[in-house]
Amino acid sequence: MQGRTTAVITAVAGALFGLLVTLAALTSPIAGAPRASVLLSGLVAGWAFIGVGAALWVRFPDTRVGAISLAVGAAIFVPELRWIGGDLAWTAGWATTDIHLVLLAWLVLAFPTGRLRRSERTLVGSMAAYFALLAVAGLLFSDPWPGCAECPNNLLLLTEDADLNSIVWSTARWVNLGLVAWLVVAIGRKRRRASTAGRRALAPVVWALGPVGIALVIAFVEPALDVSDSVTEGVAVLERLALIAFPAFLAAGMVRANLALGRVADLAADLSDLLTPDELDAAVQQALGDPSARVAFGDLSRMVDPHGTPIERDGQVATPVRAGTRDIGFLVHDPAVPHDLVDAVRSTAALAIENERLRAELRIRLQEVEASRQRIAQATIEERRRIERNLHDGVQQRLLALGASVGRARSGAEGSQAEALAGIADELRLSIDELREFARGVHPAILTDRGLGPAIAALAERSPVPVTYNGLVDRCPTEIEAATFYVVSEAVTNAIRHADADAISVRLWHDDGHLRFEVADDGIGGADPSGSGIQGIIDRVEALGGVLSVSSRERSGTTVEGWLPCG
Amino acid sequence: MRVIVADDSVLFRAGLVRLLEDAGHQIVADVGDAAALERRLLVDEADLAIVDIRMPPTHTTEGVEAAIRLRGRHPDLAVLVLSQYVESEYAVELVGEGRGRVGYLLKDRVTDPTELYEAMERVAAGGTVVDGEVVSRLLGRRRQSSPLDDLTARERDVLGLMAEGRSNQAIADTLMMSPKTVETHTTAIFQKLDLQADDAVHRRVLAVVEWLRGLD
Repeated sequence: MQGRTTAVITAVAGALFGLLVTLAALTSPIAGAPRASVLLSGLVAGWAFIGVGAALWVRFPDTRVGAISLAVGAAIFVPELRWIGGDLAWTAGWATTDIHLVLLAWLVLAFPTGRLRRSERTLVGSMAAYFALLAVAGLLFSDPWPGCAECPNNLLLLTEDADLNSIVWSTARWVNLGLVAWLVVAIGRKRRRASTAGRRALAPVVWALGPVGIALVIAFVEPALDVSDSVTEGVAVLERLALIAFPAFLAAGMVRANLALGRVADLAADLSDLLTPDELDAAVQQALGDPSARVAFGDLSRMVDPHGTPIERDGQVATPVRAGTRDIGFLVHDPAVPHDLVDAVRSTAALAIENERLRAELRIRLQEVEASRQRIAQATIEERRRIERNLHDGVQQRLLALGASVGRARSGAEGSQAEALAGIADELRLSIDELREFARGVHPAILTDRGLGPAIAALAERSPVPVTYNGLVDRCPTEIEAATFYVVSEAVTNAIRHADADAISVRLWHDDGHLRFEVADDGIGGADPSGSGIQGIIDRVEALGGVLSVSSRERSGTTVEGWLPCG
Repeated sequence: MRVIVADDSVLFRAGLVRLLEDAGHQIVADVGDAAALERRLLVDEADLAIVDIRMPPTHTTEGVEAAIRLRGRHPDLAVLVLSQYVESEYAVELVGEGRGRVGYLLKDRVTDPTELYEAMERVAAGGTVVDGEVVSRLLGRRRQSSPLDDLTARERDVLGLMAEGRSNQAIADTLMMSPKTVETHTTAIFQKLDLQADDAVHRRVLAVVEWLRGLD
């Protein structure tokens, strides 16, 4: 990969550069060259930035953070050129002492996206301009190494003026402080603006500011104090080592992000298949690294799983999953799972979760509809029983009592009166008969009193067309028996009325949790399955969870068969 | 005779009681459910109990169950069950014991009380009664081919009356033949229907009705 190669080559080049410069400085003839400890700590710091820079360049090639970090590393080495020898190197080296700070500020503000906001660009630009100015101003009025005879010459030296120099450097110290404050504020704003995931990514930067901040403070304070050379040397080492904190934290952050992102990539691959609710939960658990995690729906006060069962959250938190601006569900998980991981998982899984939510809703609706249908079917049967009973207890009894009165009257009557009463009695009998038959059509009492078997037997008895019935022994729930009776009754009635059959057979039997029925006739066939009568009995059977089919061919009879759940 | 009446419809019960009193019967008591009936019979004496088939608590077939229990406890008590259902099922259950003194009659009979009185007399005298409506339903079933077709018209008449629980004498009176002729017919019927001959009226009625029900 081209990016990789470039990164590696640049890194190696930078590292070598640093090594050469350090070696040159170590063997420098110039008196006052830094001690080995200082140079080596600088080398380590520079290499750290170069190394992390290369890794960032490879990992996030679209941003510039890798290159910037590499530049920071190189910029740490560049000032040491002053020890090589020669006036140009001497002057350039001193002038570039603080370049690495500008580049570090750029890195800090640009991490992790590589982009700067306008205010941040202003800050970095101001820093660059300032340090460029300082680079010149600092050398204008003094020798960097006063009293050094063998030192090269300061090419920018205008005139030796200790007071002016002092002014320059005092001002510089305050401007430095100001810039640091501005930088801290900029970082603070950047953090506030960031999402949870963004803050997580910024964490290394924030942590690194600790040691770097201390180093800066020391650097600020040290010139004002009159300290020994060894202390000065110690401070210099500390400054460089403090810088290492930054790439170190960055590296740790990258490793962590890598692991988590790897899991999210796996999640994305898993989600490309159509998952069952349990598989979705398992994939989410895998990605979050939390075996107790689940997908949930509903609202915070009443969460349910994809099957509609309420969920208990013991100690877990529920993170909303959004598609656009809509809440489509929750991820219920351990609070210790890192926020950026939860963020990544919830965006990746949003579509799958929405899918699951829709399916769950559909399942629930379907269950509700089926339950409602069943309730209606049962209520209908109840209603019919009630009507039959009302008829029996109400108007039928009244007519019978009337009959008794007529009977009494007949005992004492003679002649034409007796005739008239006989006529009334006959009509009354007919009415009572009709009402009885009607009530039986609504709901035959024998179905409730003795069950399905005897009720079918009674039905067969009454049929004008011979009905063979095989007999049934085991009972079923009331509404199942009632529904079966109505179905058989309707089928038999249809056969009698329309089929011109010579024989009808009714078979009932039990089989593996089903009550099966079959009504067959040898009539003319041709029954219309979409007729309202047949549709009615199909609906009745399906509402109670059963199945019904009608097969009817011209001239070869009709068979109505099916089953209802029983036991 | 001394009659006790049980029916949960106050209206009908009152009408029936008046009807019976008109005919000179003595109403020992009239109650609204089987439990009250059984309690009264522990205290009072009666020749006949007239019981509605459908009473509290379940309003299904308390009457039949109560009748069977009463016959067991009071062997000299005749029981007539009044029903609004022309179901042979209940009739068979009731006469199933085959000891007589029971009857299954439709409530409609009150419109022509002579039928009611006659049934009462028959049952109290030790006979068995199955309402003619129930029998004619059974006989009227059209079957493709059945042994019934082998019977002559007269034999069918005799069969019907046998199913109603009538004695040979009663059949002879109704059809206006001699008892001997009736006997000849009954023998022929038993043979043609392949039924075990049984002169005992109570068992005979059961056998015939069950045979008729078993036709398909």
